[in-house]
Amino acid sequence: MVDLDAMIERARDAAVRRDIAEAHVRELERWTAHSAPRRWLGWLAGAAAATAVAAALAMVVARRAGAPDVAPIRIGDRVALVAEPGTAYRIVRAGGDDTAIEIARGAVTARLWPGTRPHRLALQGGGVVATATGTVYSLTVESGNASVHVDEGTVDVQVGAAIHTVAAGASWPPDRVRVPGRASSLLALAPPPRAPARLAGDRAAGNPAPSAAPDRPTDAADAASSTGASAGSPAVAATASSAAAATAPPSATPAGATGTPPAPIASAPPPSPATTAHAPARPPAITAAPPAVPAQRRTQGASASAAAGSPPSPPAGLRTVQRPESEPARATSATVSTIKDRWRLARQLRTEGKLRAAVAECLAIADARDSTWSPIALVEAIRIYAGPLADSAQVLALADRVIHEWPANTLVPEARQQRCRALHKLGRGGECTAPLP
Amino acid sequence: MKAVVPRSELAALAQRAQSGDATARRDLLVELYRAVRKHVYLVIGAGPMADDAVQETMIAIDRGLAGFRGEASPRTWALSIATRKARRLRRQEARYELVEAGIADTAVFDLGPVASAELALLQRALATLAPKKRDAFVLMAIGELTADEASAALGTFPSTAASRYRHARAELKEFLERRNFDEVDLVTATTGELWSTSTR
Repeated sequence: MVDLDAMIERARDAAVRRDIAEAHVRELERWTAHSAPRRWLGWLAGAAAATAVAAALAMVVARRAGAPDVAPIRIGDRVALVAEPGTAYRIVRAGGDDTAIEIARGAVTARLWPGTRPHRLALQGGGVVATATGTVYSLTVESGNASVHVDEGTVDVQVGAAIHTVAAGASWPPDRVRVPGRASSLLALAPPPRAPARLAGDRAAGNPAPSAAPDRPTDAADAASSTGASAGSPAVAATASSAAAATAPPSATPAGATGTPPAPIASAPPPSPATTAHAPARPPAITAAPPAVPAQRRTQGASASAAAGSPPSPPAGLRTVQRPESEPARATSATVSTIKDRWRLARQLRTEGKLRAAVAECLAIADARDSTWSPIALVEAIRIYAGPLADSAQVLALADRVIHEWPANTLVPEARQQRCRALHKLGRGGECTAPLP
Repeated sequence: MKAVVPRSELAALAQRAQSGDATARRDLLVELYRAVRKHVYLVIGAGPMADDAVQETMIAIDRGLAGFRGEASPRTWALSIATRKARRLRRQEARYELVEAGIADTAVFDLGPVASAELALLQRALATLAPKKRDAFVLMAIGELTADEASAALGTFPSTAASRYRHARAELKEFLERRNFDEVDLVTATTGELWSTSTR
């Protein structure tokens, strides 16, 4: 009979052979000595990866935190822009048909709304001129090198004699990393109110384009007062001088553009051709100010506002966008036409051979996002570009827009057909059967 | 006379090992290996799973020695680690037989044939217990841990550990009485023969 207690006692005394134990420990030591550096490297790699991730997160957070909300600035009734903080730019021209902005450094994102007559928006800088007739895009100049990114529409980028067409979502140069722009704030803006149809004929005859009433807080008059309250904002000074310049006749539009003094401006200093840096986000571009107020009075008011906020004195000759005195009055008295009236106007303009104006009206209808009329207007614009205007690139862009915005519409097959024709004309017929991006 | 090193001597070895004495460290690891190997043999048996348990336990001891606070005996600490490793492996590899039939890995022990057979018999008897009772019994009866120490290793209350020990002891006693082993069996049985010749 085996006694359990005796068995336990002997089991306690039982010992593993020492030589086996020592051999195992030697093996263990050899293994740990061999694996220790690898463990250390593993931890090091993990720490490096964690540091990299933390640094990337910190950069993203810092970038977001450091990018203040920037209010868009309207220039006239067709153009709005947003300048990144620290951007140096100036408005070279701001007419009814043409807006030109020169960027010395930094980034400006601009939007051009379609209108009843063609309007050329050009961002230039770094040896590049980026021109559009209805789009949202940005031009960035860093260390003299320019890059363009298109958020909506199509832009022609002119570099010397070469012209590159950049479509929505693309950049020039193509390998340039996209700088986060302000397109979203511009795209969120409502289209400006439009003049009645008959005004188009007036403008075509040389009359100034109607201007929207300053219905946004970033318009000139409001900008002058609101930025005046923010201490240390150079934009205040720019606004003040711009407000003064706002009474100048249209012929003096390119304030500071060429170095020649613009038309007489009541109390504003003569514009300087030098580019002016603007540290804060709000650029000094100006839209129509109430015309009834005398220039000197408004200048004093703006100066007083600036003095109240104790901002630095404005550099002379900042950008100006002039509005004729009669223009706001006409705009305010105009009734906003219905979308059907616009369509009639577009058809009429086409019949009269005013093709660009007809296209602009069609694009305005398209922007209204009316499920009935917008696809019809877009296809009409496609037909005009495909026919008399013979602009295949525009056909392509508009056809893509129809297909993306109204995929279920009965006009989509025609848009696809026009798209394929345009691709063939552009020598890219092979893309016709490829699925749309 | 016991072949194991006394607790006080192991504690001194641990202190010297922590202060950088390589010889003390090696001696300590050798002693702990002997305790761990026996413990694992009794709770798991022999075979790959037991080897893995020993290996993992020794690696954990080697890595954790610098952080050993000395609140318990180094052997208690090592047996606690071995218990946890064995339990984890048992759960992971439940498909394995707890004790592979016919294998009595007593060659690693510095014992004579009778003592080896007796140890194999004990291991066989332990294999009939539930794992929790077996762990408690091996820790307290063979490893000579107190109920507090065993409860810390088992992750339970001291009273629970003591209860498991009592039940395990009773079941072992009943097992041995029912099988009615005698000295002849122990002498003639060195490996698997024990099981086949003594089941009468």
